[in-house]
Parts: sequence; structure tokens; C-alpha cells
Amino acid sequence: MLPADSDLVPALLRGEEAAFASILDAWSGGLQRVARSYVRTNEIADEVVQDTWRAVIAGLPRFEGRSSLKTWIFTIAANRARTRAKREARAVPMSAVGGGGPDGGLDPDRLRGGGGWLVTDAPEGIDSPEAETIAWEASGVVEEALAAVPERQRTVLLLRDVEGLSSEDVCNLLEISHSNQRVLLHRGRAKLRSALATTCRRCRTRRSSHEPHQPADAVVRGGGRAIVGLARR
Amino acid sequence: MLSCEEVGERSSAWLDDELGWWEGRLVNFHIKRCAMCRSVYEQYRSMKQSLAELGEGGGAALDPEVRSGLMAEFRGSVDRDG
Repeated sequence: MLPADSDLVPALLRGEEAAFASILDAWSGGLQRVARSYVRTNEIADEVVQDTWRAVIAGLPRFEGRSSLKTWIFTIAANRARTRAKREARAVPMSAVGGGGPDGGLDPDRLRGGGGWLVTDAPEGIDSPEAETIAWEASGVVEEALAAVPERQRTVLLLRDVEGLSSEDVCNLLEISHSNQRVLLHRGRAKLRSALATTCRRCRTRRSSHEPHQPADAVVRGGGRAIVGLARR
Repeated sequence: MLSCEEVGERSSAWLDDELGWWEGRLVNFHIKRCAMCRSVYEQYRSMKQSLAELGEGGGAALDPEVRSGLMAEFRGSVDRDG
């Protein structure tokens, strides 16, 4: 658990190495995930993270505290990743991510009929009549499923639900409107849920065919409720 | 009573506790009576929790060499500025 910005920022400005080490260790993984949602390879994402930290070191004395330190750093990373992705000629048009609204983002009206619970594709997956609560406990499963979520939706999902940034911060960081942010988050969650259904189905299949060899693949816990997890690979 | 689709449209806001008082009551009313929506809502909640845990877990660590390089840069910047 990191100290509050009111302690952390002065410590960093005083040059306390332990403070810098603590944010380096706490946020590099999240920065890598966010960068990776823009760029093509893990290696490029790693470079973006490294560049981000360099920019943080250089910019710290000018940090004004208008956002939280974390948001400031993630904004630097997102901007750098975006620039890098453009340079790699990989900029994905918004239209490829699920439809374009008038401002190049998503039109909230598109939610109607398509962005609900996704009940229509439920029967194939996790909420069959005998539905059990499925907890996606091992992060390996969630990370695998996240890859199936379109880029923009995934970025919002990572910033909001994984990194815990506020919706206002995410809007500023990604330069999108509040309604776009909400739509991207909603669609991202719906997509992730459906991807998790597929992943869990696959891991159940894998479990049944490899049961004697991979008992750790799934854990079934009390009350007849199955909690399906997948060992991190 | 809201339809399942209308509840679905409000699912994210409900999950984030961002619905107004009245809308929240309407969604709550529906979810209490509709097993399907309740089950899906539980899945969303569990998913959100798993995502938060993913964040708490930190993720891939920095390459040790990169890490020590950055620490050295931080030290250097302090020496320069301070």
C-alpha cells in the first residue's frame, strides 16, 4: 500500500529513493498493461514504460498536483504509447472498435439493443439454468480474456477497473467525453464477460481431458458451486 | 418495472454505484425478482473484483537491469537539481 500523494510527492521531490522505488514497483505492471493496449508487442510496451519513467524523473519538479500522481504518470504513459503506436503505423480507427459517433467516439445510442447484459449469448456460457457463481480467481484467466476486448474498451477497462482511476481522470487522460467513457466501459465489461465465458468453457474442457494430470486447473468449492480458476501460465 | 434490456443498459452505472436514487431502486427491484439478471449481475461484480485484484497484484515486474538504471537516473536527477 502506497502512502498518500501528500506524503509521496514531497518524498520524491526530496529525492528519497525508497519512495521512487515504491512507485516503480507498484505501477510498472499497470503501465505496461496500459501501454500494451496501444502498441503491438510487449517489447515496445516495455520501452514505453521505461520512457515514461524517464519523463516522470525529468518532470517531477514541475508536477503541480492537479491530478493524482498516479493519473499524471498513467497519462504520460498513455500519451507516449499513443504516439508510439502511431509511429508504428498501427493507429486503429475508432470505427474499427465498434462504431463511430460524431466525435469519432462511440455513440451512446448504439448501446440500445446491443450493449445490455448480452443475455442473448448467455446460454452458450456461464449462466445456464444450473448457473453457478464463477469466480475468475486466477489473474491468468482474466488477462487471457482481456486480450479479446477491443483496444479502446480495454484501455478504459484497465484504467477504471484494474488501476482504479476515477471516470473523470480517465476522461481527461484519454481525452474522451464522459458518455463515451461510460459506453466504452460498459461495452468492454460486456465483452470481457463473454470472453471469460469462452475461456472458462475452454478451461473446463481442458480440465476434463487432462484431469488426472492437472488437478490445479480448477477448484471446486463447497455448496456445489464451482469456482473455476486456471493456474497462471 | 424495467425490462431486462433496460437493466442491462444500466448495469455498468449500477455496478459503479453511479445511478441516481430512483433509477437505482428500479434496477434493484428488477434484480431482486429476475434470476437471470441477478446471476449476470453477480458475474459482473465478481469480474470487477477480479480486475481490481489484478491491479493490486501489480503485474509484470520491471526488468532488474532497467529498474536499477531508472533508480540511478532518479539519483542523478536529484544530485543535479538538489
